[in-house]
This record gives sequence, structure tokens and C-alpha cells, in this order.
Amino acid sequence: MAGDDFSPGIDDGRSADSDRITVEDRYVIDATRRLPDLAGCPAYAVKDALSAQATLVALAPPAFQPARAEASQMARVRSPHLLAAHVVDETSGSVWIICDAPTGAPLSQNTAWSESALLERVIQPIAAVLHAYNAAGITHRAIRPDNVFDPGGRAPVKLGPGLAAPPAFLQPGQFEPLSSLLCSPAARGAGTIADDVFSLGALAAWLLGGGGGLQSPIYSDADIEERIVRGSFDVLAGHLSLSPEVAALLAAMLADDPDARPSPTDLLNASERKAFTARKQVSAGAPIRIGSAQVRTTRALAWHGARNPVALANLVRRGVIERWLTHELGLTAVAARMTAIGKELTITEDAAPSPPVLMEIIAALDPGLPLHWQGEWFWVDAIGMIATSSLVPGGGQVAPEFPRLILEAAQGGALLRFAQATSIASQNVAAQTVHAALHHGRVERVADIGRLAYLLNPGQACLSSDCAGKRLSAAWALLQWLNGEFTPTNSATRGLLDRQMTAFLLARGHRSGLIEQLGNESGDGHSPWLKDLALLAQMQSRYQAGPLLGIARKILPHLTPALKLWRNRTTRTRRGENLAAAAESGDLTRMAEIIADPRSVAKDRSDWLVAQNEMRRLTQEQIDLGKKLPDVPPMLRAEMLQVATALGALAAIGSLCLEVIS
Amino acid sequence: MTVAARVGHSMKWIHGLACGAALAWLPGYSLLVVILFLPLIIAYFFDRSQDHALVRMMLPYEFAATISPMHQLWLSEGAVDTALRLLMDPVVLITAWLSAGLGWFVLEAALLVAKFSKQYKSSKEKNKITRRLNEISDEWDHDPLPFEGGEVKPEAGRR
Repeated sequence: MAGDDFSPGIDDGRSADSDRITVEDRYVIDATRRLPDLAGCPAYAVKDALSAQATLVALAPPAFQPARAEASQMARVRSPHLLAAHVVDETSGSVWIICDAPTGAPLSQNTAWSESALLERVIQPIAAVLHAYNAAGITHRAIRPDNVFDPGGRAPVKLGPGLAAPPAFLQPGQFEPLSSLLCSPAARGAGTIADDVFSLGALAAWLLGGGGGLQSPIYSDADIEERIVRGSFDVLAGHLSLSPEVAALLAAMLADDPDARPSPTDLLNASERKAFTARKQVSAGAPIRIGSAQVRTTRALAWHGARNPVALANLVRRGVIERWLTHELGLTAVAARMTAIGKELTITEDAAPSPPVLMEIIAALDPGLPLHWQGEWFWVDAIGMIATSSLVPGGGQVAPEFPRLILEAAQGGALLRFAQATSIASQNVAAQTVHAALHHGRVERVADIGRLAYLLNPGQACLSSDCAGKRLSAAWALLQWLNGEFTPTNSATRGLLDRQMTAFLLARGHRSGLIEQLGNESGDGHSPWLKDLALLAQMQSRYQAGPLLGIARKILPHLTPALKLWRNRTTRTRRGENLAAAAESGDLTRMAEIIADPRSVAKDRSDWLVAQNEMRRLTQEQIDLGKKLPDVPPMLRAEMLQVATALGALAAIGSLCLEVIS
Repeated sequence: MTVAARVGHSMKWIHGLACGAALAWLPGYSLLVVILFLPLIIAYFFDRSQDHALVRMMLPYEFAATISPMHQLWLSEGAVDTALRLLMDPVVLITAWLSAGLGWFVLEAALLVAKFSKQYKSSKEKNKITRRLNEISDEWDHDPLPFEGGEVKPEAGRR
């Protein structure tokens, strides 16, 4: 993806008519011709200038449902049974994905399948796609009926793109494994290829069951409990009459333990003759009682324990779980871990375990489950999407306190500890990525958590409610939009930019050290307009964005209070004139220099003090002058006497001379 | 009795002797001098200051006015008749007496001039100060600094 850098020619990607967008000099997108959504993402008509017969669609991921962070990597995956994504492009300022148009109807409209047709035309081709994904080290996470297309005849189905929406975000509940189902859709993360295998198995079971009844992406606790107690295979395919081979295949694919599922390679030649054996989850002969529930598996114990932490802590403290694990399940290593945690728990007096301890108990009981923190389940690699979802106006699909919980967990080091405990290897890299983003983004307050959305997903568009519809994912595009059509609202608490725009620009410029420089300002005593000007000036100079006359004109009227910092009227007037001149030339850097000049302000302040002192002195002098009587001092009087005497002497001499002469 | 007072006393005594001798041997001169110097003698007795500065100042003026009649008296060899004739001449008498007044007038005029020049200087100074004060108050704001109290506090939950 073009990332956060300005393309050399800003207008290259956008023709004069903003409705026609040219991508990579060959794909011409017609933004006025909306096509039916593909993979849950808005689609538009597009023409390939080099190949007239290519049937393509242009996908435009909305701001609150962004493309996957690894979209450009995913676009490189090629498979004959995958609708190829040719380009993931950001040169127009927004993310556009050029993708093969689906041929045929989605499977949601064609649900009559025989077992052999299913194996040959659905499971094998999609397994081939998953094999390619697995080789690239990424996951698809969008295998569901409306994203698999049947060209008809005996041709294999084609899998739609998985990069245009957050992973597993739109998956109906029945296509998701337990480890993903526990989380809200935004918190599901990219998962593993075993999760894709589960989705494929669930798709097969759904098709064999005649389709119908797509569930909501959000699962209720009762449904989750049913899946935990009975097992996913039993819930999703137990009611179907299947041949033993297919039943065994589906049982393996729908295993709740990800390690028990077959790999895509195993499925490449899945047929009615190939035998799969599903490992059964270890289940205790004697159940353990937690709260009102009787559980026989560690997974069920972990899930119930998360809902009833006090009871779980009691069991751990009393060594009940340790004995149960050793004697009933033979899990001595887990039992030893429980003993250690039990000792920690007896030291603390609290009945309820602290969140990190509860997290450790759950991760030890079932390392395949997501991170549990104060009632919320999430995968570490989903934190960016959780941040995005938490900013959906009017409350998103995540609880309002979710960002706070994540920050708390990350600051307490829980992410790294979870990454050590979980069996999902990718979580370690994810935890380190999140920590790096927290560090680079200086995310120290819940209010700053929005920066994570941009730092963790380079294709995330600005989430400000003013411009979310524009899908502006490049910094220069936001600058251009601010410079052009945007009219600032009149609010005392914000300047030109709102919190999301600021976070977006800071995150996009974080490699140039913008966050270190500007991200930490508490903002007290500073006009928001000044801070916005400083940030925009930095963006302008660092990305050589050219004159931004529109932004300058929008900011200028709000800088008058800042000019009052200068007490000298001449200086102020001159600065005001310079400021207006800089604004007229669209030079934000110059404006920022003029308006934020602490040395000049300090000099002005000291000059002002000097002037005040002079004024006081002069006033005193004036008073003193008024008091002084115009009296002749004795010294002067004596002098005047001498003068008069001397004059008299002169007169006497003159008179004598006259007398002598006459 | 101090030495100075004794000397003063003896000097007075010598003065008295000298005056008596002058009256005896030079009656014309004495008469003319006493009458012409009358304002000075009166001033001498009315001047309370220590050094009789006023009298000393008026003395040269009186001399200037006295030189001409004294010369005439000298030419008539100090005759009492000439002295009386001169004293009868109003021009001589008024000139002598006014010259004492002229001395006093010169002093007062000098003092007045000094006073006026001082007043002029002080008002010039006053104008300068007023002008500078106006300059300063035109140039600078005097209200308390607007930003010192923290003008705009951004709201915490702004989105």
C-alpha cells in the first residue's frame, strides 16, 4: 500500500471528474455505478483499459469496516479458485481494491448439494485456496455462503476475497470456531488457518443441511454454552444424515480443538474414500462443579470460570481443580501451573482474582481460547479493529469500556504474558506489534487509543465523523479535503481538526517523529486552533503538500486571541499583517512560526515590564514636578546678588569714567 | 565678651570718632554723603541679615550716583554752600536715592528672570513626560495577560 507517503503527483490518481478514478494507469473506476456488495464490501464498476474482456469490480472498504491490515500481502495470493485481487491501491487517497468479478451466484442462493459434488466442487477447491494462503502465512477468514460463488455446471466454486473486510467480522456465528465466537466480531482477529478449515467445514455442513438460517455474527451466551457442551460438530452437523466418511471429515474439520482439524493439504484430495478420524476432546469421567454448572472439559471450565471468577478462584485456591486435572484428565503440567497460581491466590485475601490472574488461569486451562480480561474476550491482533469499532458513532459492536480494558491489559503486560501462555503462535508477534504501536503512538490515555486503529492498519481511513464517508486513508487526501470542501463547525472545544483527524495525522506521520513532537501535549492553556496549526504545518512541510490556502483561511480568524500574547501593539499589528500575508500564500509553516514564537513573546514580555517600570517612574516624576514650588533657592539668590553687585560696580566705574572724561 | 565683639565695639568707637572728625573738618562732604546715602543707612538699620548683603549690593549703585556731585563739591573745595546747593537740586537728590532703588530693582529683576527660566524648564520637562507616557500607553496593552489563566480548556471526551 502506498502507506502514509505522498505520491509525487497528488492529482495523478484522480481525474478532473472525481467520480472517475484511475488506478495504476489502467483501471478506471466509475464511482457512480454501484454494484451489489462483494464479500460485504461496497463494490463499484471498473474497466480495465488494457483488457476489454476482463470482468472486474472495485471494492471500496468503508472507514469503519476497513480492509485487512495485511491486504497488499493477501492480494499477492493467487489460486485458480480464488477471485484474485489485482491491486490494492491508495494513490487516489482512499483504498480501492480491484478484484475479479464473481462468476455465478453465491452459494447462499444455491444450497442443493450432494456429498460428492460438495467434496469435489467446494471442499477441494477452497482447500486449494487455503493451501495457498497457508503457504503465504496468512488467513482468509471470510468463508461463508455469500462469499463463495458457484459458476454452475461441474466447475468448482470460487472463493471471494477475504481482504476487503476485517477478519471474521461479518461471519455468521455458525461459521466461526469457538475460539473466535467468544469474542465480539471486531475482536476476532486474523486467527489461524485452522479457523478457515473450520469455516469451510461449517459451510459444508450448512450446504448439506439445505442452507437457510444464517445466524448473526454475534452469538448469545446460551448458544456458546451449547456449542461448548455438545461440541461444534454435534451442534452444526449432528442433525444431518451423512455418509460415515463425510461425517468423519466434517467431525475433523469442525473439531473444537484447532490442532485436531485437518490441514488444507489434507483436504486437497478429500474424497469419499479418504478417511479422517476426529480426535475426541478429553472429557472427565467425574464432572467438576463451578457455580451451578457441572463441567467435564477444561474448555467448559475456562468458559464458566470466566463468567464466575470468584467460584473459579475458590476452586483453584482449594486445589480442587488441580486434583481434578491430575486424576480425571491426566493433565499434570496444567495441574502444576494451577498449584502455582493457587499459592499466589492464597496470599491475596480478595475473593475475586485480579484480572491478570484470572487471565492466566483461563489461558492455562485452555490455551486455545482468546485473551480474557474483565469479562471481555479478544485476540491480541484484533486490537486495531477494536479501536476502530469503539469509534463508531452511536456506539459500535464493542462495549464502551473495551478500549480502557485493552489499555489496562497492555500497560500491565498482560498481552505479552498471554502470548506466552496461548497455543496460537501468531499472538506473540501481535503482542509485540501492539506494544510497539503503543510506544510509537505514545498511547497512554484511553482517549488516545484511536491512534492504534491507524498505527495497526495502514489502510485505515480517517474515522472522524465529518469525513468517514470519504474514506480518506492517506494523509495528503485528508489535507486536501480539509483544504477544500470542509467547513469547520463552530465549537469551543475543537479547532479545525477533531480528535480523530488529529490522531489520524499523527499516526500517519509517526515515522517522521510527529507524535514525539506533538502527540504529548496535554492541551491545557493552548488554543486547539494553535495545536491544529502546528500539526498541519508539520504535515505541510514534511510532505511538501504545496500551499494550503483553504486551511490557512479557515484557521486565520481563530488566531486573533493568540496574537494577544504580544502586548506591544505595533508588534502585534505587524505580526497580524505577516500572518494574513502567510495565510494568503497558504504557508502554514510560516503561520505557525509567526504565531508560536516563544522567544519573541518572552522578549515582548520583558519589554512590556520595562515599559511598565518606565511608566511608573515617569508618573512619579510627574507627581514630583507638580509638587515642586517655583521658588528661588538661596544659592541662586546669592548668585543673583553677586550679579547685581557686579552690575553696580560696573555702573560705578562707568560713572567715574564719565566724570573723568567730562 | 568675645574678641570679635570687642573688636566690633572698638571699631564702632573708631567709626564714631571718624564721623565726628569728618563733621568737624569736612562738613560739606559729610553733609552731602549723609543725605545722599540716606536710603542705604535706613536699609542698613532695617536689614536684619547677618552680612547686610543688600546694603553691600546697593553700595556700588549709590557710589555711581554720588561721584558727580562729589566731584562738583571737590571743585568748590568742599564748601558747605555748594553742598547745600547740590542737596537743593532735586535731580541730584532723586538720582542718588533712586540709584539705591535701582540696585534693589536689578536684583529683583534678576531673581524674576531666574524664576521664569526655571518655570519654563520644568514645564518643558512636564510636557516631555506626558508625551512619553502617552507614547507608552499607546504602544502597550495594560490589561492582565489573556493566556495566563488558561483560556480554552479542551474537553476531555472530544471526538
